[in-house]
Amino acid sequence: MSMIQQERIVYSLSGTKTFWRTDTRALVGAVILGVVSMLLQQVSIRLDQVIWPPLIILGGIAWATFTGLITLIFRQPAGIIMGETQAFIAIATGLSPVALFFVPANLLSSLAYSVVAQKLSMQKWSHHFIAQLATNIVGNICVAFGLYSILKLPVQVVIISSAVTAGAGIIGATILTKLAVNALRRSGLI
Amino acid sequence: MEPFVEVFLKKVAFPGDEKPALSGIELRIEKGEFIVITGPAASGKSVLCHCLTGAVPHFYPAFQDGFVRIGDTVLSELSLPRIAGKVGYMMQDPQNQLFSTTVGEDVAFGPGNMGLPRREVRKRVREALEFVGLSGFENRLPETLSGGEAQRVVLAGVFSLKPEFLVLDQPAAELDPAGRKDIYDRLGELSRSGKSTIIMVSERPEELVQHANRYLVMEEGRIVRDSSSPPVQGPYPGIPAIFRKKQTVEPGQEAASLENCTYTYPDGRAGCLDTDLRLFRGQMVALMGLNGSGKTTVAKHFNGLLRPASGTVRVLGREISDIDLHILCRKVGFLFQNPDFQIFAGTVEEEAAFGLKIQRLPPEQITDRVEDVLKGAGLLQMRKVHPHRLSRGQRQMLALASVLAAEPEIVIADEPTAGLNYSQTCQIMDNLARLADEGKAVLLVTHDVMLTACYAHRLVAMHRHRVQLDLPVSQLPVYTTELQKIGLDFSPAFAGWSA
Amino acid sequence: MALFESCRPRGTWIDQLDPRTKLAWMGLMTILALTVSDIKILVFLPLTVLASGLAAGLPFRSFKHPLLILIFTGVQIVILQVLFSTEGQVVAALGPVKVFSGAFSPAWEAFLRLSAMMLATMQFLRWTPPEDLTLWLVTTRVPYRYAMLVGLAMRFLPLMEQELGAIMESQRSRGLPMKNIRQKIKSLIPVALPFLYRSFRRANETALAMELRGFGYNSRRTFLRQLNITLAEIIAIVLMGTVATWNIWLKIESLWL
Repeated sequence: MSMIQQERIVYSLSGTKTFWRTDTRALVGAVILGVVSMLLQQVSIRLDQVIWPPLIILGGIAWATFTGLITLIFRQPAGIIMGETQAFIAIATGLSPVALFFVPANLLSSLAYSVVAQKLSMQKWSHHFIAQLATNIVGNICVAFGLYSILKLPVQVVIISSAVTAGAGIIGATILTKLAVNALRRSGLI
Repeated sequence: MEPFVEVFLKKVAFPGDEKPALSGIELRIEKGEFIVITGPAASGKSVLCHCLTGAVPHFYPAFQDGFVRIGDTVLSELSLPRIAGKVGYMMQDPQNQLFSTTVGEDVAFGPGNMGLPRREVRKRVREALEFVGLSGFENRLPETLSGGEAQRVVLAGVFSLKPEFLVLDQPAAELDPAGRKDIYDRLGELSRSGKSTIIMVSERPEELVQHANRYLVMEEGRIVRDSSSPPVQGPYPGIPAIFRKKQTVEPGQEAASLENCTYTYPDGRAGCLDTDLRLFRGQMVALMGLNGSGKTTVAKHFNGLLRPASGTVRVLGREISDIDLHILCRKVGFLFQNPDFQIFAGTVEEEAAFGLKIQRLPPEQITDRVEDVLKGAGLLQMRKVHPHRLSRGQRQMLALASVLAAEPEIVIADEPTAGLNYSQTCQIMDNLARLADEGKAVLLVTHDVMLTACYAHRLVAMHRHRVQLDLPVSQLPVYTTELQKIGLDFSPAFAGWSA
Repeated sequence: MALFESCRPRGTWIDQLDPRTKLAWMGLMTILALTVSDIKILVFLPLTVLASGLAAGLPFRSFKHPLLILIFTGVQIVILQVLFSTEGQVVAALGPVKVFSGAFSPAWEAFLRLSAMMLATMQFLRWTPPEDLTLWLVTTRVPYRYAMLVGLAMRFLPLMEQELGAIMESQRSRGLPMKNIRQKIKSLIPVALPFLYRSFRRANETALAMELRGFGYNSRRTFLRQLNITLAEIIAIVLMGTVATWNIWLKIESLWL
């Protein structure tokens, strides 16, 4: 068996900690899941906006879940590709006033997730929690800059709103990422 | 002399599976052959295709004891992109095999990857599109193609690499009869011209008798029959329905009706015009017509997914304009063509119970009903399995089971057997027929004249968004010409009948 | 409603332009939207983008949907500012919330910045064929296996949008209520999961089909077309770059002081 094949078996069978993955399946998966994530985020952010415009809760959870899920399954650069696909489409569709700040937010938070995922086995709830903690903090700091500079919101409001989004994202996405990865493993699709 | 393709696979097994996916496969294929493979669900047909193209073990990791040799190449020794010029692979869903934003770019995808000179790439694009009869389609967007056209573009893309060996896994399963025939004729031409050796999985080998020279039947990962004549698949158990007693049975009460319904889609496309359609208890109505004639639009009115711009929809005696969709759904079950659009639960039984949980039925009742419907669907053994571990046909049975669990009075089935094999089709259709026998109203939207002839009591034919004919199936022979005029050719059904 | 209209030839001068020129235009508009602080100039930005789009032959109706979203977002921004701004004088009181006069000017400013950026990006996607972007990326030495992913995203977007609609229909037909907000939130998982499963299946099949059509055969490949940039365009790009840099410099300077 060739090296490449052995590597692929390892990829698909366990969560072995590699940082990079450049096979076609990961690249194509990143793009397609980027589209999925973008479409679902459209749905959830619109719901957020109807509930209470200043707070992005469902959208934040959806964002963090997909960042985690794709980075965990397809590694890098898939995580970044997915994030940037999503950010660009978000700007073009007017998803959020601060969509421009999704560009750095998605890049850095996906990298943050990768770093944690490489260090930990990602088999335990606590590992998912730590990874989401890193992702949400990094991502929300970027978006907070946007809330401050574009929307000119007072600093206090920015901090509270970002903290709530991050908090919801950490808890919600920890649960959803782990459940989704388990469901996908059981389904035999990854 | 050595055969062109040699397959010797003692065993192929996927990690984690108890049983091997393939065992004891020995196959020799001469140049220019056209081979058809059939077999029940999960018999290893697709896995064999994967092995013949190198997808196993390169893309789907598996333990493989044996080899596949094509010409002088052993597939396991080359990477997939290197195999590309030698073997062409076409799978079921064309939309997943088109990767570019225009048809021209897509056909150029393969030759471009090979690094051929630009002029040669252009020439190949032109030739390939001409071969599939789509010259002038270069600038079309893939999402605007019909199913048949999309599959022909995929064929052109594969053909542009000039592979000597073509592997096709149900390339026409989701097409209408005309689309299927078109693809088959082109493939037949390719094999007769000696340019390609073809091996194809098809659930309807009888449709390929003009072109194929050899038929394989697979069961449980083995080739159990290898012959120059197609395996005989029985006609549907209902045949000939034209003689069935039920035809003379008077229909029961009216269950649902559309009166003068007109619907236009938000983008301006016509849906249905002035449509009248009545469904009766104890009767299965087949709704037929060409693609885009308005069948699905009509069907979606019965459960309130679409509300007519003008006209009235009645379900069980009540006008539905004042009933909420989720209430209406308890009375009207809707089975879609693609079960994957609804399956989301972690086990088969949770999936079947989903609709009942929304209705907040008591847990004991849910358990009982789920057990009943899973037994009926033949899925009781697999109740704890993840739904995506089931085969496509089993997933459709699961979707049907979850529709039936709600105990609807009216069942709408939109192309429920597209892409399924013969025995799976029988299973779905027998279930629907039983519902009609039990006094429910069934509306079957279909392209399949055999299904209509064998199972339905009444045929409603649509043409250009209007109901053109509405007649008992027993009257079919009288109306052959009228039906042919609107693109419905029942002669295959009658051929079976007279034989 | 479809999020995007795919890019297609407009039969005007825009088809002849190099993607780099279009990219520079989008970049310039975005940078101006972020750096210009004079409201009077800011007003002209979205209008300039709109006018350039119409001049290039994009029909006005293709801006209708984005404009609707913009108005919706604009209302939100106003609400945000009304809720949180405490600048200026109290002009009205809505129950416990006091509305300050200073709320409206930042809202208007944010709305203009957002409009310019969003219209410029949207316009870029509508008048730049994805293949052009791929070709541009290849000229910047991005390996083609990555560069071609741009086209893939655009290719699957309309298809998957339809699919999401079909999944919602399918679940509604099973009795999943999706009328009020609570029901819609509860329906997110039953809608998202089938979509996720389907997409993983799609990704697998597509990747396999691509490899078997030679994706990754060599490190280079032949494209059907090649980019040709004119001297006039190069000059235009340099000019746009200069204006952008100058504005960034001014902004940094103003922040510094």
